[in-house]
Amino acid sequence: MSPTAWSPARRAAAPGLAAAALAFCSLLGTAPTSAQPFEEVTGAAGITFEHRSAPEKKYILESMSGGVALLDFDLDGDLDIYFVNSLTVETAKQPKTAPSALYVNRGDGTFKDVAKAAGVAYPGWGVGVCAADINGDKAPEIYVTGVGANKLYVNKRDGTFEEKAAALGADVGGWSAGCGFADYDRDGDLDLFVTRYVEVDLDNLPVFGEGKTCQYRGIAVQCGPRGLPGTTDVLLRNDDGRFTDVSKKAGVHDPDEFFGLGIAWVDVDDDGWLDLYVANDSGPNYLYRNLGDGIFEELGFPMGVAVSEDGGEQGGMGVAVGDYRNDGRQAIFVTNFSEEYNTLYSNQGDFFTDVSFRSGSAPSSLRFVGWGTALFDADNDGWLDLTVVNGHVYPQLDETKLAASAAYRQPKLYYRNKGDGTFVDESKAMGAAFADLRVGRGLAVGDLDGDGRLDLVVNDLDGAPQVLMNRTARPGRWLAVDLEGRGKNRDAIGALVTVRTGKVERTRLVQSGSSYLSQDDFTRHFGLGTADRYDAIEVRWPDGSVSEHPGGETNRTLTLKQPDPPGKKGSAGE
Amino acid sequence: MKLGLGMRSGFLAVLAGLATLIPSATVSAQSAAGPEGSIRAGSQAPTRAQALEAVGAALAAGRITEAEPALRRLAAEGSVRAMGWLAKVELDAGRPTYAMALLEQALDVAPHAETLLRDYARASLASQAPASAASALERLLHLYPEHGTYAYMLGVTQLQLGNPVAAEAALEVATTRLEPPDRALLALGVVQNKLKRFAEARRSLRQSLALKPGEPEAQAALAEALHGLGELDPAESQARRTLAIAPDHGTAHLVIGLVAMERGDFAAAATALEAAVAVDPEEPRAHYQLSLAYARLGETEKSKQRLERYKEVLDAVEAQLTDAAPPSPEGGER
Repeated sequence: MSPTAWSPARRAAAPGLAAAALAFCSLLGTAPTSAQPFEEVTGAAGITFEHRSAPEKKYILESMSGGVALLDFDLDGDLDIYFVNSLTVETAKQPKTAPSALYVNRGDGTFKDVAKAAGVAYPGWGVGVCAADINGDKAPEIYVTGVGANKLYVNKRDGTFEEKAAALGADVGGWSAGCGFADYDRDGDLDLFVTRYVEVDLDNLPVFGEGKTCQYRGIAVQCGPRGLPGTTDVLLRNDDGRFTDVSKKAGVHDPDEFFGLGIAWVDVDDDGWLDLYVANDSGPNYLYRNLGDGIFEELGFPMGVAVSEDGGEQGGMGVAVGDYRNDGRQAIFVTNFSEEYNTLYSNQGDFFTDVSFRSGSAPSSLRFVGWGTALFDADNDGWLDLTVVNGHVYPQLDETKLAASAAYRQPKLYYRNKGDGTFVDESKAMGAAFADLRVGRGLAVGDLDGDGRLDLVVNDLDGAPQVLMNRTARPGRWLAVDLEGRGKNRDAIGALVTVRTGKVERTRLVQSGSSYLSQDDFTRHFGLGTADRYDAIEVRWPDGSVSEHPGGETNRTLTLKQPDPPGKKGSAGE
Repeated sequence: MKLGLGMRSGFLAVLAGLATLIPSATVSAQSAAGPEGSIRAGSQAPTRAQALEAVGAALAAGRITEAEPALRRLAAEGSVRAMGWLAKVELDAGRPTYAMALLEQALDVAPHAETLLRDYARASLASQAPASAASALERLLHLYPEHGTYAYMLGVTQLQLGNPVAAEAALEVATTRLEPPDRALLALGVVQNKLKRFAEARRSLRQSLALKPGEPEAQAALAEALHGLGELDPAESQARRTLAIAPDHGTAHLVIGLVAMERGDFAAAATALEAAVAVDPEEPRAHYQLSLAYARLGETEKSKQRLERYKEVLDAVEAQLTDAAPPSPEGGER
C-alpha cells in the first residue's frame, strides 16, 4: 500500500468548476474546442487591467516590467491572476497612478479585480512577481519585485494580504527583477533569490539618445543596459520566518554585477539539491551548482549554459525549464534579444549542449526580442511544447524600417514538440491570438477553467494583457498533480513529479518563479496522449525523500501528500 | 550580445586587404591637365592651372618627390584637386590619417566627387575607421547605384562594423551588380552564416563555388553552413575538402571540432579545436568550444585557462568593434 492515498481532483471536486469550464465557452458563444487552438477571452472575461508605461520609453526603467502570476490566493480551487503594473519616470512618486490587479476567478468564466480590497494594488514601481506559501498555512504569498523596496504580501487567508517585506527582511531594494522561492538548504522552509538589473538613480538618469549605448542601428533610443552600472543579486535565507542575506556567503551575489533578469531553481545534476540558473541580459548566464553545504559553485561556462554555442553573450530575459525529451532531465530554455536566438540547452547529464538550431527552436526567433516563455504540453500529446512572447524595447523602431529586427510590436511563437528532440514552428497555426502584434513581457501557464488544457496569461508592457484559453481540438488525456509537502513548504516547491505510462516517464518540476519574472500554477500538468490510465507516480520531495504512488485513471487532478518520515505517525495520505 | 562573434571566422582573408580592393584614384596626365573644377572657375589664376598641370604630370610620371612641394602648396591654397592628389600620396606613403583629414577638407568643397569619396573610403579602411568608410561607401552607392564594387565594399565594411544586417542588404545588391558575383556571393554566405540563416548561406556559397570552385573561403563557409543545418557528415567532409586545399584554414578546423563535439568525441574535438586556435588565435568561438571540450574531458585546469583566453579574445573583439563604431548616430548596440 502506498504511503499516500489519492485525493479526488481538486478542481473536479470543487462545486461549479466543471460548469465553469463550459461557462467560459458559453460566455463567448463558442464550443469548448475551436479551430484556433488558443482563443483570447480577456475582455469577455471581465479583465480590464492595462499595464502602463511611458509611450516613448526614454529610459530603460520603462521597458522591463510586466510579470504575471497564476495562483489560488483565495483557496477556492481555481486559479486567480495577479498582474504587475509599473510606474514611469514621470509618475515615480505617485504609486497610485498605476495599480496592479488581482483578479479573482469567479468560476463562471469571468474575473473580478479585488486588488485594492486585498491590499496588493500598489506595490510601487512593480517589475516581476513570484509566489509561494512561505509559512505553511496552505495560502500562497505574493512577492513583487520592483524599483525600490520589494513587497511581500502575506496571505491572511481571508481574501486579504498584509505587506511585510521590510518586517521580514525581504525588501531588498535597488532595481529587482526576477525572483523565486526554494528550499535550497533543505531545512524545510523556503528561501528567496532575487535578481537585480541595473543600478539606477531616478534623479540622475542617462539621457535618451546620448552616447554609444543609447543608439540602436543608428536610431536614438533609451540607454542601456550596456554602459550602465550593473548590480548584485540577492539570496535571502529563511531563518524561522525572517530572511537573512546570505548572498556572498553562498557565492551567488554576482560580483561581476551582470544585468540579472529571469531565474529558475532546478536540480540540473539530479543530486537532490536545487541548483540555480540566472539569465543575464548582455552578459553570460549563471548556473550555480548547489554543493549541499549552503555554498554554490558557478559553473555556467563549463556546463555550457553561459553563452551561445558561438561563445556569444546574449541578452537573456526569461527562462523555462522542462523535460522536453521525456528522459527525466531538465533542459533550460532562455529567451534573448533580437538578432540573437532563443537558446535551448539540452541536459546531457553532466553538461548541457546548445541544440537551439538542431532542435528547430531557434531560427524563427532571430527577429524578435523574447521574454516570457514556457515549456508546456499544449495539446496533451505527452511532449512539452514551447512558447515565447515577444516585443521590442524601442518604440522608436516603428519610425524606421530595420530589416533584421521586427517592429516594436511582435507576434508570439509556438513550437510543437515532434517527440524526437525537435520542434516545428506552428505559430501561424495558432490563430489570431498568436499573430496579434503585441509588446509581450510576462507569461504564466495554468489551467484556468479546469478543463485539462493549459491556458496562457500574458502581461504586455503597453496596454491590455491577454488571457488565452486553450481550445485545442481533440487534446490528449491528462493528469494534474497537486503536491502537499510537509512543514512550511506546503506547495512542495522544488519537488519533481514523474508519471509513468508504459515505458514512458514524464517529469515535471514544481517551481516558484519562472518564465520572465512570472509565476506559473504550482499544479503539475501531464499530457498523456491516448493513455486512459497511468501506471505509477514517483515524487521526489524537496527534502530528498521519495514516495511512490500506484497507477490510476487519467483526466483528473490528484493531490498527493508527502508521507511522514518512517517511524512517525502522521498525516500520510490525502 | 558581443558584436563580433561569428564574424571573424572564415572571413579574415576577405577582410584582409580590404582597402586594396577599392580601386584607387590614379593620376593620369590627362586628369592632371583637366580643369580645376567649377569652384574655381573664372577665378583661378593661370599660374595655378599651370602649376597643377605640372604637378599632375610629375605625379603621373611617378616623380612624387619632385612634385610634392608644389603639391603641398597648392593643397594649402585650397585646391581640391591638389588635396586629393596629396591625400593619395599620403595614403601610399602609409599615412592614412593625414590622408583622411585632407580628403575631408576636399569633400567639404566637393561632397559628390567620386574620386575623393573612393579615396576617403580607402583611407578610412587603412586607418581602421570602418564607420567612416561605410559612410563614404553609402554615399558612393547612392551616387552610383550600378557600381557593384561599392555595394560589395559597403557590405564587407558593415560586417567589419559588426552590423551583419546592413552588410547583407548591401551584399545582396552587390550580387546583382558584380560580374562575376562569386566574391559577393561568398561574402553574402558568410554574412548569412553569421545571421544563422544557414539554408540561405548554403545556397549563396554553392553559387559562389559554382563560379569559383577552388575558393577555400567559400569551401570553409559552406562547411560551417552545413554544420549549422545539422548535416554533420557533409559538414565534416566539406571541412576536410577545405583542409586539402588550405591546410591551415581555421574555420575548417573549427567545423571539424564542432562536429566532433556534437558526436560526443571530445578528444577529437579538442584536437581539431586546438588546431583552430593555433591557426587563428583571435577567434573567440574556437577558444570557447575548446574550453568546453576540455571540461568534458575532465581537464579542468586546461578548460579554465582556455576560458580565460576566450574572455580576453572576446574583450579584444568587443573593444575593436567599439572603437570602430561611430560615436553617434551610426552604430551603437544594446
